[in-house]
Amino acid sequence: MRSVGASRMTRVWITCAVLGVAVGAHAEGPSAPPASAALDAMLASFAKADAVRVAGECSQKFGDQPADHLTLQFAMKRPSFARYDFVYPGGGKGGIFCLADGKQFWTYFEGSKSYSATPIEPDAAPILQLAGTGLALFTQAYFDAPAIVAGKTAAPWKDRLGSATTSEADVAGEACTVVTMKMPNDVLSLSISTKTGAIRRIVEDIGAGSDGAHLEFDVRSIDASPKLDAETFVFRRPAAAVEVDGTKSPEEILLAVRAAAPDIGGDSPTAGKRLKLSDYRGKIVLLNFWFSH
Amino acid sequence: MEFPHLAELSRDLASQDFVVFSVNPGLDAAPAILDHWKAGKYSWDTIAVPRDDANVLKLGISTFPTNYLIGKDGSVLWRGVGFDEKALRKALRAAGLEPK
Repeated sequence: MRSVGASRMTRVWITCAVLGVAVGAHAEGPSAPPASAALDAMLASFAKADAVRVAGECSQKFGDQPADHLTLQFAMKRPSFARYDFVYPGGGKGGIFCLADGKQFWTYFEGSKSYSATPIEPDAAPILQLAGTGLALFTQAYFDAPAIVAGKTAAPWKDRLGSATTSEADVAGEACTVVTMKMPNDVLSLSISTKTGAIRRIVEDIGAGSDGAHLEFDVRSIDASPKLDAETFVFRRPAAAVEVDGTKSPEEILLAVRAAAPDIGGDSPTAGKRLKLSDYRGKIVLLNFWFSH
Repeated sequence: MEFPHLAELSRDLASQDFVVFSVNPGLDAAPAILDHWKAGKYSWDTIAVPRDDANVLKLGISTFPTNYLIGKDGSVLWRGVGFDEKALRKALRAAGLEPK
């Protein structure tokens, strides 16, 4: 049993984005690059960029649990600084994920007012220090997928890449080349506009069954020369936050920090009115999740 | 089924500022919930929320029953996945209650 939340999503997403590309894929024979001057321009702008900011809508589904939707923004700065902000529908902040020193991620969970430090996976470390290929993490996928399509993969990557295949698809009304990279426990596909060379959609399937995850990220905007404040990449402990073990699940963290329970509420068929947990403040409550079968 | 045990605890601890609050996360329709309640003559209330309710997700609910013990100040004291009456009674005692 696992929960759905930004914390797990970020860990799975980033771990796999990093490791996936690291362990991942090489062009399998000659691919069919979109003949596009725009693609060359995009690659050139990324090669020169000091920073990139990307925003879009993210859908995540773990096992047989319902899908969760949130807004994802991420910003990266050479050599390996990254910050991800997760926002739930309605504007609630899901949390932040901040890589400030290239050695560990700071993750802040808004729900439990807790934060943790997660060391970079050893296998991912070389990527973060790879010079000249692009920015860190996601950006590796950003830089490498178009490069794979264009047959311009940087030499160091060709040694690492496994098997990438390309196909054509329409994504939100835009003709795209889809680069699919298959890893032992992970399939990552990136849909790249044949017109602009920009990545339009990232889809990742990790594992299977109740431990499986399906993630989709629709890119809304890409800014290859954003004005980023240096503070963007500094993790500051939010007021009243408690540091926790980053390996714990969100519900374990709720327990570990004795966080306030979320104020769950809804219509009550038995009371004939709306009830919420905070109606019982001052009492010890056994909050019981049930169904009749 | 945990409800007979919850009914017993609800009755025994009613004088100790203890209450059961049930949540059905979109798995039974309201008429079925009412039938279930009438059949068991349960003294506490249940709400019905969508399966993808944000708070259901935050609490990591994927197994039934799952029970959380919430303190008087609203803080999370204990979580039990499945139903282990002995573990629940231990948690209740740790919270300062005196179940029979």
